[in-house]
Amino acid sequence: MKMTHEEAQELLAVLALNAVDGEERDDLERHVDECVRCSSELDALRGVATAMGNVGEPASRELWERISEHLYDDVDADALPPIRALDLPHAVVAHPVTSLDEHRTAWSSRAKYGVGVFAVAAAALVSVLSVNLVNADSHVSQLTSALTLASRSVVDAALETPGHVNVTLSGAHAADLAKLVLVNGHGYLVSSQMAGLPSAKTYQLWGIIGGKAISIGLMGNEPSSVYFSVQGSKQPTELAVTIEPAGGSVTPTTPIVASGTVTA
Amino acid sequence: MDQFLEASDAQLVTLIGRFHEAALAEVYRRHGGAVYGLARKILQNAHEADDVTQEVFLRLWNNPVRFDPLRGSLRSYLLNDSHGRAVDLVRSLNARRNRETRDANRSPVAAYDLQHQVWDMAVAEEVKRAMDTLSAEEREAIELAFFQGHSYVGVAEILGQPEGTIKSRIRNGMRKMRSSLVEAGIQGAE
Repeated sequence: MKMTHEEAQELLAVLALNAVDGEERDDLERHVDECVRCSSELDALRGVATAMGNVGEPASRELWERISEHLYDDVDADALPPIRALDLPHAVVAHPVTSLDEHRTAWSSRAKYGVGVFAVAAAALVSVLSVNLVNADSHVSQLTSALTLASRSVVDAALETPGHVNVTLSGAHAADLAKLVLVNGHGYLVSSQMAGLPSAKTYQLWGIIGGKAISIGLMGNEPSSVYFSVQGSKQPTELAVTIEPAGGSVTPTTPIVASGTVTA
Repeated sequence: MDQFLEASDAQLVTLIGRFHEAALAEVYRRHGGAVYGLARKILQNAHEADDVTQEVFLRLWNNPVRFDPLRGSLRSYLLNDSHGRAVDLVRSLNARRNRETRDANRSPVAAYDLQHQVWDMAVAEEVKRAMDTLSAEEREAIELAFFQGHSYVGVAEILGQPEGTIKSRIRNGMRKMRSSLVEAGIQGAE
């Protein structure tokens, strides 16, 4: 039923307290959506209501950790940013809020050629390609467990080997979050400035092969020395890192935090 | 998260639209306590307040375009969301309790310690002053609706007054509050 302006005016303060129910609330909200005066008055009255409810308590870190565990429960993989969409903070901050829809819509469509496709395709390809990824027989290989082998001298030797390939991983807020070296199908972490993560999280390394994201393995929550092998497999064209739950993920479930092109 | 310390709330919401977890973390750092505090105030239950707070922040994460900076501050938006979710929960719990009570053939008892409710409110001094300008009837109706999650129809039943009377009390009280807060330089929950 259409509510008159006078009827709406009587109820605005009540609505600001969330004390209107059912169809009456629906009718009222429809009127407010169409009436600039009522909309403006409701906003002001809601300001009063929230002032009354502005009860300060310290924000709990434990609750934040619980919230952060569920951030991607309802996020469509297609909505995640494409792998090369590294958001430079100064550019992002300059965007007006009103363009949010455009951002997410654009991502959604671009993601068809980015992480979205990787995520869908990788699940099917992991079983095939992982056979070719020596020492990466499981998509959740613990790279750090193999790292004791990767002493500094091994990394130095790799850097001195003719034909080695340097890969710099850059993130949204830093140009070189990590440097890796690839030589003869073996890869080593040369240096890392990636921030430490809570123990429930891990960095996961992905190789982009033929446009698909294939898990190379887990880097741990504080990567320092990492060894991996892609021997016997086609060399990735790109390496990328995401933050995943400690056990790792089959496909990337969060946006890329760092990535870099593998140039021969 | 340090890089977001200087960002405005609106900028943070833009970044949330781009799935920046650190931006949401900063919003939580700024407003999480208030969101939780209000939910706990209404629900009187820490676990349920946790659930409401989680829901509020996940809603912001999943649908940041719902926040319109032209219609008020982010804190106001989040508190309104927190209040709405908490009230929904209170009403569903009340409905369940009422059903259980009816099943047990007990008489429902509405015992509201309004004075305690007022004293228990940890709100800003100006808000307290503004509430002091209300008549007892206006304050009672607003408190039952806002802090205990009753609809105005429910408030009318509890107080044994016509619904129109309750609507008037709430409207007059809220307008007085608004005038007092504007005079005190408080536009909302900034």
